[in-house]
Amino acid sequence: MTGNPAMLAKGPGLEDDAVQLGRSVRLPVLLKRLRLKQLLPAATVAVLLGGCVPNRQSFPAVLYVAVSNPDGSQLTSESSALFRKRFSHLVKNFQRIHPNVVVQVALYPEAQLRNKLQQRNRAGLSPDLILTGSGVANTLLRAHLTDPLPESPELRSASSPELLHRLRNRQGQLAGQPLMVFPQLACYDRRRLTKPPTSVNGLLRISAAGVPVGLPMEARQLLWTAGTFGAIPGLYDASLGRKPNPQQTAQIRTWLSWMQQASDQQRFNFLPDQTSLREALIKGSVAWMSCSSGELDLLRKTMGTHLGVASLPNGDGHSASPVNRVRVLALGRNSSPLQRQMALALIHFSVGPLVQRSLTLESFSFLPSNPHVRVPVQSSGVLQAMVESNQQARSSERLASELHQGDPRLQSLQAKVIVPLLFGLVEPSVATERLIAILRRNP
Amino acid sequence: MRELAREALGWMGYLERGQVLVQLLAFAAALFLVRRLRPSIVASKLRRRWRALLLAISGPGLALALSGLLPLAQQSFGLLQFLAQLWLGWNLLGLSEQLLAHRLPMERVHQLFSRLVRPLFLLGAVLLLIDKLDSLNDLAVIPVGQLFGTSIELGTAFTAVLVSYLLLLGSGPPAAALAWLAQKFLGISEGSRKAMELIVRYAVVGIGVMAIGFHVGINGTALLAIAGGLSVGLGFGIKEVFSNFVSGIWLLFEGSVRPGEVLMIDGDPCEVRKLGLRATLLWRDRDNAELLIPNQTFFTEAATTYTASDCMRRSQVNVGAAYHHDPIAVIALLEATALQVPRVLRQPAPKGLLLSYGDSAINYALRFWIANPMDNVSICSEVNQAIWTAFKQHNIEIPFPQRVEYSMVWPPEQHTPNTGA
Repeated sequence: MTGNPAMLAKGPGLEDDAVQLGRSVRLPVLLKRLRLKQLLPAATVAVLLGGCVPNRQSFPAVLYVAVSNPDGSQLTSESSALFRKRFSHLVKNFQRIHPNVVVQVALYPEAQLRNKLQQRNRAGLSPDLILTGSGVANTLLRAHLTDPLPESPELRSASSPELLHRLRNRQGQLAGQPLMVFPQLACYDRRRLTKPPTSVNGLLRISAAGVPVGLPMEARQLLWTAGTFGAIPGLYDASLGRKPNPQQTAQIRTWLSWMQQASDQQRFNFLPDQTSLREALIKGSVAWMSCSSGELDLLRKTMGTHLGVASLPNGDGHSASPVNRVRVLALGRNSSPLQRQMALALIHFSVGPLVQRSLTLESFSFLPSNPHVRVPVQSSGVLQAMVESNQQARSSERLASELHQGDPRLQSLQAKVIVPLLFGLVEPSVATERLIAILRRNP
Repeated sequence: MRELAREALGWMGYLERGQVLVQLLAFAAALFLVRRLRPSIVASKLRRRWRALLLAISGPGLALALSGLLPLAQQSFGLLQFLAQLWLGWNLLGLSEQLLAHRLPMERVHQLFSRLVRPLFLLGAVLLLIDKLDSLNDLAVIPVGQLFGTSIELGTAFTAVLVSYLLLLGSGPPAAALAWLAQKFLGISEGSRKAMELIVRYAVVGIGVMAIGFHVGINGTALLAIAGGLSVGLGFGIKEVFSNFVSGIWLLFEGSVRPGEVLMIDGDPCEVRKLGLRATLLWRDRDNAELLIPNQTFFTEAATTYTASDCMRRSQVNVGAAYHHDPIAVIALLEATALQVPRVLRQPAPKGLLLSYGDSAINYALRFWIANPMDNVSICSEVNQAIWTAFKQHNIEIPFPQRVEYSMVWPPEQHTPNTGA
């Protein structure tokens, strides 16, 4: 493919003309005879096939990474800068080992990711790596929008079996490699609350005492409260299609009664989503809220040292059951062999213990997915709270893997149980029956 | 901006992928084949309309057909399909422009397509292509700079520029429609209609620009600062610009300078073509020149117009006749002659005048009225020709001074009269 473009573009009969003209044919005359319009397609082909030259190693490999933003449906310059900052640390270190790799990051609102990937896959332009939540990664693999991750002992040991279980489909394929864990925490305003509540009843008490409390009206974000009443096993059984036993049903009913009781309180606010809740904390209309560690950077930026972080309050005899978000790296479908090779290299690199530790300590916003990494909890209260939350989350691990983020049952739960319950339209006993019925439906 | 340029350069990396290359090669092949087929289609015996349609759809159709074959070879096809659709869209735009040109004025259609439809199509195509290569949402939040302490993002800046352009272009027809309705129902004059159209347009653009400012996030204090800066600027640098702008609006309302008016500029009649934001465009018939004159010139200086209350102009030609002709007969002949020239108005009637007794002739003037002030020179020429013919027919002499030369001998004492040299 390194032939002379002029020869490639030679039209019929031109050779004869050249022979007739003999040595007197000069290059400008020849170029004039080869009209530009004829030359262009041939030149295009030559340029396009430039990719076939043997010395490809000298060209940089461009690695396309799509990152989904789980927060809301629109991106902001703050969230974009935050994601880029986080990812650029990883990429800079990776480029020290692979200097010939250029990484291009594109952020998508999580709600749009699937559609955009469909379009890009169809055009052969899919990203090489997708950094997204575990639930979305599962959905993408199911929709054949990503390739399953080739398993290796190194990658398997770089993650806990529970996390990997969340990412396996029915054929046992892995939807992605866990990269970081964002625990669900309690965020509060130190100016109005010196000590965060340690129990859910304590939460009701501070609310009754005049401290505004906020929770999101999203089923998955509220699951942590179910654990404080021991309702997780019943919910898990129902999610598998089994009928919870009477004790489990009673625990679910107690949980839902608590939620309705909380909703009845004047200063206990249920806001539509996590973004509204965060804005409410920044404005001061709530003083305590459940949050994800992924929000800490934005909250720190606006609240500074007034931001307090703690693990979520437990119940009487039962611990909270936060559903921690896991961000995973999944493989795109249209990569060239070199891009695939580099994508896997980046995955291997990013789950290494040293890289995971340095990523964690640079941001103080997430925990490493690699269980072999020791997090220095003594030096940071935030890290300690995250580690505590990670331990609390073990109780809901199996339920979280059954009820992943894209599960349609969550939508039904929200619309038919949570919202009517919080507005006092249904009694907790009715809501319990509805909830169990919805969960038992096979998605 | 560096970030944006880096992103754009990074898209070249897709050329590493075989699937992308195959689609681009298939598109190039379709382009090449259609170029080869084109002469046969042009030479075919199909009707002109069908031939144009075939030329428009053959290339994209071929590319679409190729995109249909690619999945059979386990290849991606979306990019090829997208390029084919763009190609088809572009060709159909060309066709619709031709069709519209049959029904609407060619210039209008050309303006519509070259200023609005084609740029919007290309813009949409580029955005859609970027959407396939990257995340538009992400690119939109790239900061491009600061304006009055407000950080401006690429998406906001782009929207602001696009909306401003659409406002400038798109506010014309609605403003014209509103002014037309006002004329229809309120009975305002033609000049007021045009003034109203312009003012509505300026108001829409002004409000739009304010709205864009608020959309971009510029706060009220910054706008006040702009207003303060403007007032200082008006006092010094841009006084003339503002003065011309206000003069233009005033003249439109007054109706003295509006498109179609005929004004005398440096002794030449000129027709007003367009009253612009800063200057008025006039057309001079004498040399087909277009004059751009600042609006405030008409506002501050005296101007002669032939079209303020009516469009008629009184014109005049001068002629001399020998002393032995009866002035009454000459004047009657002049008046009768003027009436024979078709573009001279019958009413008010032409009027002949004896102006003075000259050295070699009696000087007459013929005054007559014409309907179009711009035709003065050509009608005067016609009248002069008619007078020459009429005088010849009636043996009226047009005298002219004659000079007789004598050669002299120096010194004068040696000169003999009437002997020559």
